[in-house]
Amino acid sequence: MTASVPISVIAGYLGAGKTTLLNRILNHAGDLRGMAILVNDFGDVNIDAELIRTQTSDGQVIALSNGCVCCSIQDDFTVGLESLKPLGVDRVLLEASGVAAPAKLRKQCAYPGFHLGLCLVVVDADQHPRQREDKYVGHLVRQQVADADVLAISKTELAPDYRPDFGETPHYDAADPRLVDLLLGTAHKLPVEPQTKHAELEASDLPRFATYTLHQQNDTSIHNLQQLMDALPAAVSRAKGFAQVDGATVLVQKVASASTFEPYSISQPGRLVIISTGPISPDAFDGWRHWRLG
Amino acid sequence: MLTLYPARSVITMNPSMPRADAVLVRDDRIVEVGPRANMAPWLDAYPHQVDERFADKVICPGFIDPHLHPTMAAVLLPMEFITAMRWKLPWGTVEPTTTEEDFTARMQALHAQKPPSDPLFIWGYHQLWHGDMHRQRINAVSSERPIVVWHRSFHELYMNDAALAMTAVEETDISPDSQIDYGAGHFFEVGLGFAINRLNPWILAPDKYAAGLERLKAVVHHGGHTTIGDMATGLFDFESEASALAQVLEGDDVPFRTRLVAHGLRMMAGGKTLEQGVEMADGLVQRNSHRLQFGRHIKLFSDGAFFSQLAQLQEPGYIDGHHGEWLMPPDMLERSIRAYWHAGYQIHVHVTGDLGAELALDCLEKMQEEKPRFNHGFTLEHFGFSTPEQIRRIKALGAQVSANVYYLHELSDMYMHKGIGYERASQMSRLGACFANDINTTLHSDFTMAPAEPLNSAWVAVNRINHAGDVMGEAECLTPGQALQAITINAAHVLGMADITGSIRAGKYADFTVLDEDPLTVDPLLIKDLEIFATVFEGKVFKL
Repeated sequence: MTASVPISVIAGYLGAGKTTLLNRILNHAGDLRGMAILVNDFGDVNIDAELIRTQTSDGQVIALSNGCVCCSIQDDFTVGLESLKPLGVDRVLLEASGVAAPAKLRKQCAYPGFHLGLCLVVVDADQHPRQREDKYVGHLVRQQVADADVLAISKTELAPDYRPDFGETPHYDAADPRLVDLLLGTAHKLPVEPQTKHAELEASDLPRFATYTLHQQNDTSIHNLQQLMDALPAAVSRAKGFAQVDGATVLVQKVASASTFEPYSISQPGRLVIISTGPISPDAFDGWRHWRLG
Repeated sequence: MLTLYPARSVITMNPSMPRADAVLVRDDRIVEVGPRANMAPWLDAYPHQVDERFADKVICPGFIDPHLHPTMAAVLLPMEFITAMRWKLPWGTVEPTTTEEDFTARMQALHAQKPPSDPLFIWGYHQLWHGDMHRQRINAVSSERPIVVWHRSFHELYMNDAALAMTAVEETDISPDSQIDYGAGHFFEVGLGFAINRLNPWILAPDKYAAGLERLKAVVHHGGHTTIGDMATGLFDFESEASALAQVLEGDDVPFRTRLVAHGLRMMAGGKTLEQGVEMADGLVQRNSHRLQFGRHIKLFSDGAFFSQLAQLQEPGYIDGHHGEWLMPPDMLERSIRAYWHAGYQIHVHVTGDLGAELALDCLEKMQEEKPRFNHGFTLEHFGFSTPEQIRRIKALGAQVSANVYYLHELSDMYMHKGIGYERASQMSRLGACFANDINTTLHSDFTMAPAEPLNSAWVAVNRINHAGDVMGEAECLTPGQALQAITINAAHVLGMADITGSIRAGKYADFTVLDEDPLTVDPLLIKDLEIFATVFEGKVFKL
């Protein structure tokens, strides 16, 4: 018998920021070897799922669509887990469906050979007060919070007055880099302080990320795109996405200073996610005349 | 050459001429219906033959099941059935097995019949009738031959020693909280997923699957259908299913047509956006062939499985306080409905509970405010629990209902005792109210959730008798005429095919289901047992 593989779960209702957190982990500078990521196909931002899928070519990233549909006898989650077995994966990160209840996830993660590591639930500070009273999802959203091991509060800038009441459950700002450690399993016990202190954030070894999304308005040439990519400030650690180049879709990736452009078989709207190790001036995008920032 | 079919009676489902005594067919189409004596203008104008084989029979419009799942059926049909309910299958009727002793005896009989090297897959076990199941009980039948006993709900199964060995399931792999009881050979919920992954080489092998689809084809014919709806093409995998269906369900030997309604979530597979999903759905019609047709229809999902008590309920909910599930986040359902509504689609939403139905109706109401549409065909699929107030909303918003009325027969007694109590259990499938409000309403089997026998669905809708023999919600009974309407013309409307089939009138395809007896005058308790003599699909006779 081999050692059981822990599954860290990122749960939370649709739009809470699960994919954003997942992208932070993917773009995190640390060692992701041996980790498989299961993402939900109707996640919040589908382009991100597409980006995630292109992350590795060795089959370690698997897209997950929803499980049981009217007594479906084959469920994608367990098929995903089964396919990981021969790959020598030693940890799994699961982006759960927005309607998954942690109690059920716990059972699902008890699949032979796996177990639930940490169940993190992302809570949207702006939407939570409304969602928890919603006639359709109120019960689910309250249950998600009640059953979480750790809570991550997102979008606090939209709701500065939000005062969470989560009892004993540790909670963090969703941008707190310690969440990455927790989910990657590099921190073995939960830090005890409940909320993020800004001083610690600055002192952290992990970079703070800023993310910008550019939406393409007009077709471009490869020459023009290359120039724009080269002109991005040095703080940009990574860029990924798609561009419409001379009527065809191109997969764009930038790691450190090198940009690559590959033809992409599935037509995609032009969208680039720019990740920098700190805020960059909006002027930096001045040259991107045919792209909209937002 | 015209063919004249005289009959004891022709039930047309055309309200302007409900009955006739003959129907006249040219090639694949009906050219005239009525009293034979009035057909001279056609008969004088063209050479014709008289086919007397239905002269003492009753000709109905070809039956339509607007919601079943060929793929699920293809997995199940190669298995042996031992069931508490009767299942009429082309290769023999499975008579009810309702006691523990009889279930064991049936297992022993199957074991004795089958070639010794074949694994034996049995479907239909249910503890309410068949007693406790466990590995030792199956081993007592045989511990040498792999035997898998599948629960009627599909959500659990049991294996004997040989099956565990065949699938290489090791006790040491299994953690105590994994929903697997190794000692009992019992795999449930997540544990079932594990078992299925190990059993896939046997149950989803391409030859098995193809054989299963061939059986499905026979089942559909046997039920008297001439049209069916695959109400979620892509349930397992879109491309492989679409190509398998194209191979097996197209061709001159296939006595029915299939409306393919794509699984909405599969249109977004591979990380596509909703808009790209709509674009993909738009392109599906290019794959159409004569019998297999996509249209501007899409399938979306609200709440969880009815058989698992995961339907979402309004107050007062389930007796034990548990909650149902959403199959998609409600906001995602609304966004999806919006995308397809604005693109002009007919939207079919899986709803099982009254809260699930409420969500679908709330979405529809928003759409009507954003962009009013008439004749949009928005359909509530399954329609387990509902409230009288929702019936009025369905009517006001112009929606229609496609009901799995079999829930009432199989589950109302059990759900009354363990689930939701008498009042709501007796009012599952609130269909009389739908007809009273002139809502287009049809019946489906969701096969394999219920037998693919439209006459059986009609029997439940007319009599509302559950498996315990009790009449449940008598005020909601349909008349035989309404039930026949439900499985013919109303179903055609739900599939967007009422212009070509669903009733017998000049101009439509010659699609008939021919019965020995008249379903509208026979004792309503006998409707499910009426003999189907033949079907006619596009003018061609297919004997049963």
